[in-house]
Amino acid sequence: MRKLIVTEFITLDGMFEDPAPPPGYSSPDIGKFKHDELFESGVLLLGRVTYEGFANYWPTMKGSSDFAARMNSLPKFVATTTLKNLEWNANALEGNIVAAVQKLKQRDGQNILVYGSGTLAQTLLRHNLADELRLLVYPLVRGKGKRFFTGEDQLPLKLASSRDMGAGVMLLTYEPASES
Amino acid sequence: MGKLIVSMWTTLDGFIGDTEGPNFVLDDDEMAAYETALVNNADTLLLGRQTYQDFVSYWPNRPNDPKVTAYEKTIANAFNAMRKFVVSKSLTQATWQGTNILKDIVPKEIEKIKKESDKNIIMYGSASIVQQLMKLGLMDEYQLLVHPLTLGSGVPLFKDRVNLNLVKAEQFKSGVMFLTYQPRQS
Repeated sequence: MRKLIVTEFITLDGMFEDPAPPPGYSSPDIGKFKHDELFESGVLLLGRVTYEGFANYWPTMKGSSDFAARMNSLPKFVATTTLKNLEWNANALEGNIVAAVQKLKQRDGQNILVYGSGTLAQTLLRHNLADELRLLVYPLVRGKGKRFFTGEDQLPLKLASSRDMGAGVMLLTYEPASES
Repeated sequence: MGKLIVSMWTTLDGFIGDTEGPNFVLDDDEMAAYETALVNNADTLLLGRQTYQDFVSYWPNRPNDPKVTAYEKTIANAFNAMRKFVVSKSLTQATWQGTNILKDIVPKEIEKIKKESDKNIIMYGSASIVQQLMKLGLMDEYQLLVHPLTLGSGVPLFKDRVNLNLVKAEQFKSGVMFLTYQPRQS
């Protein structure tokens, strides 16, 4: 049984997928955290939109860092019903997403890591399939943009830990509020 | 010179409640200690009409209620003793002792209130007033009690782009994050 981790960059008002934060909001702790997180993971699980963005971007970063090398080499699973020919060492999740992810979690190994992937992340959170939700909360308010949390029902969570990462960024780690 | 502080209970996704109004159920000793310290360090309340009306129907007589808790009595006594400002075009009289009506947000008046205050000026709720003051660069501090809950939709605290600095972060046992931000001078 391995852990599934959803990891996101969000603003104080819950927006994600904003272009990179403005200068002055990076810190060595954030870099180390993102690095360790990737190297503690053995597989990436992505929604279609995030997969398409990543599969376009990361191969162009080949040779630039060990982070990029690992992004490119890790096996990936993609939640998609429309894409047929996946590249970038990726396979489509077959059949029901919840069942497929449950099966994926049952194998032993390093963590399953979910970046971005708003729609998929909501499904995982609402089915208690995410063991951890890691939010890097930037001290930015965007007012408009794409919201990470979009469900119509309330989603209660349990705060597991918090850490000041420097540059005003907080790492908040949540777990499902109730085990089922 | 007092700091203009907004104190808000928010969800993890930045809402201060849904259309039915705030629906937070968490409460704990650390929250009570926070709320008590907040009022003890303030001498002025600045409220929108809606929040003012909610408050005026609850707090003025609270100390006389035989069932009042010591915590609520402290908060009520502090509120009752404070100088108060309500921003409203429609209110013609405000009965809560020490209340002044501001027809509009006039930067000079807000600056005067700050200068006159020895302690802080607190705002609760009143998101639209907060947003106006924020645009005018008059908000000094945001104290957010981020509850471990998402709503997906509701009344947002913030509507405009702003870059902030994190001043302080504290994790409460209940799972509430107490985060203090100030505007970032750029």
